[in-house]
Amino acid sequence: MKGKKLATIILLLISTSIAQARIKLVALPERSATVIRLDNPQATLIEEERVLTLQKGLNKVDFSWKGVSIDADSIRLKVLDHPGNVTLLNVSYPPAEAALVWEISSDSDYAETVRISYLLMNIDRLITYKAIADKAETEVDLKSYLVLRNFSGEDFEQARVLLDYGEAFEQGIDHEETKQMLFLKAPKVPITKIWTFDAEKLPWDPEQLENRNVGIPVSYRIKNETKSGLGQFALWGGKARLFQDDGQKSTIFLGEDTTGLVPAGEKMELYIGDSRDIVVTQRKMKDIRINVRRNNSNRVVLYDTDEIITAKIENFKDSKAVLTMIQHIPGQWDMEECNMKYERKDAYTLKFEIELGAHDKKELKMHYHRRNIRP
Amino acid sequence: MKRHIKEKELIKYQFNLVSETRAEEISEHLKSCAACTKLAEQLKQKFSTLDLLREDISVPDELIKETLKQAESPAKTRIIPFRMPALISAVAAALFIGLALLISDSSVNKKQRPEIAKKPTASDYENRFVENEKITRNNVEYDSKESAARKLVYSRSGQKLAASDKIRKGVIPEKPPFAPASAIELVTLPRRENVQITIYNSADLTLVRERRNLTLKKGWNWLQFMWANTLIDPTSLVLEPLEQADKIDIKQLVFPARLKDIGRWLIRSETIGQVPFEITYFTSGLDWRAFYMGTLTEDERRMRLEGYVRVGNHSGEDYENAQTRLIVGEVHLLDKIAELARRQYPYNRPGWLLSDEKSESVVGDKLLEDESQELNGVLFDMELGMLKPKEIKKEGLSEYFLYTIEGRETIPQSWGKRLISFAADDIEVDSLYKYDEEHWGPRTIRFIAFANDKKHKLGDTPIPNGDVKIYGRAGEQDYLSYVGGTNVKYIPVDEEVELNLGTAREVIVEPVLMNFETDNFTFDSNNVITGWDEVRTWKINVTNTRQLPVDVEVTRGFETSYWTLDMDGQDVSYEKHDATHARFKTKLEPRSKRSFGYTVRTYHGKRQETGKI
Repeated sequence: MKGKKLATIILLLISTSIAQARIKLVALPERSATVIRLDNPQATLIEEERVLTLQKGLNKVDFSWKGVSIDADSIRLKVLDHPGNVTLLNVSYPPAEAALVWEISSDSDYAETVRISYLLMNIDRLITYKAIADKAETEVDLKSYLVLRNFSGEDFEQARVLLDYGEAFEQGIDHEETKQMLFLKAPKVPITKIWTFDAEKLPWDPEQLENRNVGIPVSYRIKNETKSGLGQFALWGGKARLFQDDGQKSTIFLGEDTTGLVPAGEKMELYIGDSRDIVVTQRKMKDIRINVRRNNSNRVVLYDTDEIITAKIENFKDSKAVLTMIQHIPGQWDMEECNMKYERKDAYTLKFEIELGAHDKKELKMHYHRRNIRP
Repeated sequence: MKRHIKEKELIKYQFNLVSETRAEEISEHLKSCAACTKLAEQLKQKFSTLDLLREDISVPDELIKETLKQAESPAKTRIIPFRMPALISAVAAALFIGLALLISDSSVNKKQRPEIAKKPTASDYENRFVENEKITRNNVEYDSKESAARKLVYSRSGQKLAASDKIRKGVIPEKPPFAPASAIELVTLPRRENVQITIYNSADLTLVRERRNLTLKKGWNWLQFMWANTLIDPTSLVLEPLEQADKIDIKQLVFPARLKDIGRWLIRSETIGQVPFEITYFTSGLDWRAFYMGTLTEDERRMRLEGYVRVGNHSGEDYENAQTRLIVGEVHLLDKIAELARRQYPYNRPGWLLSDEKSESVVGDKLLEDESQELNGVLFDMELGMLKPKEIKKEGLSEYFLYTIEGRETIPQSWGKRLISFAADDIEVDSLYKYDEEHWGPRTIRFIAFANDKKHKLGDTPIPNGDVKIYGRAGEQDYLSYVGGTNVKYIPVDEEVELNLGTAREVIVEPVLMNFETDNFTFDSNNVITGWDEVRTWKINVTNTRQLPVDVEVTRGFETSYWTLDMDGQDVSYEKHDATHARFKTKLEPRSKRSFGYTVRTYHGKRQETGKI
């Protein structure tokens, strides 16, 4: 780190008392090893080593900072050379100052190496992903970049940067500087392409939308597992940009999405865009009350319904596709008749995997009853 | 007055390399001689700058000789006193390192040592260098320029010698050289060899790919990219070597502090010479859109359809001779590229709400283009000598359609360009009239219907969304009449297209309620009404005043799922459109009228439980 105007300063006080207005005559110990620890996305821990010239007896060490934001309660001091002979007695906070004073007792004169740790604000890291899919959309070349952002007010000329996985590396970064570096490279990661129509989220009848298409969301699914060349560690969340090889030594941009943290063994799903070549036209063809039960005042107290939903699914693509269709039936229900197989995801959610050939058309028909509904 | 002291002797004196007696003499002389004192001062300053320069300080050969002699003779070794100024110590240290290296070299090749110490010639250096290379690395090529540079370093600075010697041996120092980013720069600009732009129509997004040949030196290279006054998204910048990728490592991209619109790549290269690189990035400000012109035949049964694309450039950058590609498709974007381009810091700063954290999608949210600007540049693209419009190659990729415009295009800033995308003659069309009060009110809407398929001489590619203008033929001399304009949504291959041309004046649909009655009341024990039926009889009058046959579709809603319907007569049928609507379809001959009737019974209250639905 450079000893700049914004730098944190550690001072070895020769003055003996700490008054309100403090006059300091100090020695400036050199910084040595600095570590920037970025394993926690909430806060960045800085650890730096300094050599303090301690005199036998009581020493006062002043740690102060200007133009940087340090969590004063996070500051720690660790004696490295003579932990048995050098004792930290107490820590005090001078009034109206970004500083603290350590009282250190030493049994002899030492040039003592100490490690100071603190949480520094406004320095962090981001993760971004870039994936290039092959033309057939079966695999991607995945790259992950680490973006170091330093707006802490401090220049780090050279520091050891630690993440929660991967090897530590030496890196300098100035205040207001952003550095992007390749962090992970995984070629040929298998992907699954998914089209999803969720009846709760998308319009049912395109005819009702004057001249607008209903886009069916398209996602790529990547599994964080060894079979995919990954699976060594959790993949951090970040923005992912997906491209596709166009077969002409170039690429097109498919779309971008953010991913959350993906632990090893889990799936990452990236929504790239909407397909307008698969068209779903869903309509409710019947919705009536049956088995209506009334009380003595002739008021309806309980009834069932008789409902029919049809969904026409058309694939206008030249290739086959598997559409995941999500339907929702609230409350207690039973299926009277359904012409396609479904998986009950939860009490109210049905999932259909509908295989469509190129230029194929299918129609889903669900005839079901909702039971024991109270008005 | 005594003779002045020579400069060489003064240097020796300053480094305590003269005998004690001579040192005393010089010291005495300096007290009385202003000229020598001044020279000594100048020499002191000169050597003090050595630390800043770190190289290029010429040390007299004599001094080196003398130094070597002293090093070999312990009796003459002088201890440099601690009180010496730090800078002088640094010079001494530098010399010492140089000396040490030379000595170590002598142990390898004693015969050559004196020559090297004197002044190595370029050929000496080359020979030595080639020998070293044979031992260490045979597969790395160097050009003579590089060697000459190294020679200079080698002869003057021991420290540099160590570094360049490492590189010569194929070892690149671990630590990259520090290259401060400055607001004032002198840079060489590698020519753009090849530019490809891929423009999206669903978002303000263009993928630019440019190829540039860069000359790399072995070791660490800094490459600076600047994009002031453009709309480039810095987070999308990617640099990739197109050749020798295994020998070139793009280590990092640095966005320097306090400088805007500058990115610097740090490249570690195992190779020397020109390497083609590809730079890709997103920019905002280029756009394209599709639009169509349909011309109906006089009988309105057929249509010629022409599709155009119009490309506009407001990106702040001229794109010359660019391969232009257009993408049809709905791309998912988290941030608007124009906003990313305007950020003060490419990735913002910590603590700010990152756009990544906003889940807001901007799909299809395209910036409105500046029509007046774009109109300036409407061009039909015809290259001189070729005299035929450029073709557009179309290909499906993932969920997108890629249109590649033949050849290359130059799209200057603020200009637009219009190109024909396709033209199809004799498309069979149906004149369809729709009546749906819930949708359009009591109006008949005119549609032209066809399908994007082979039967309709289309179907090669999807039809991107865009404006459509439909013209009719008027009179024998092929005059045109404007029928109407609309916009068409994206039409996949094989799907039917219905172009809404607005209110129809020549086909009238008029529903008339002919009878209304209630029936079948039910009561509870307190004689309160619990259920009833409502029966309505409707007559639908349809008039076609055109000289063409027309299809008419009438949709009627009943506001309830509990209804039954009977047609009055057999000639028109209906289909249940959904739980609350019925749809009637009929055809009318030219200049004809037709009526059809139906009776709809709706069930209310307890009557809904009759089980007749």
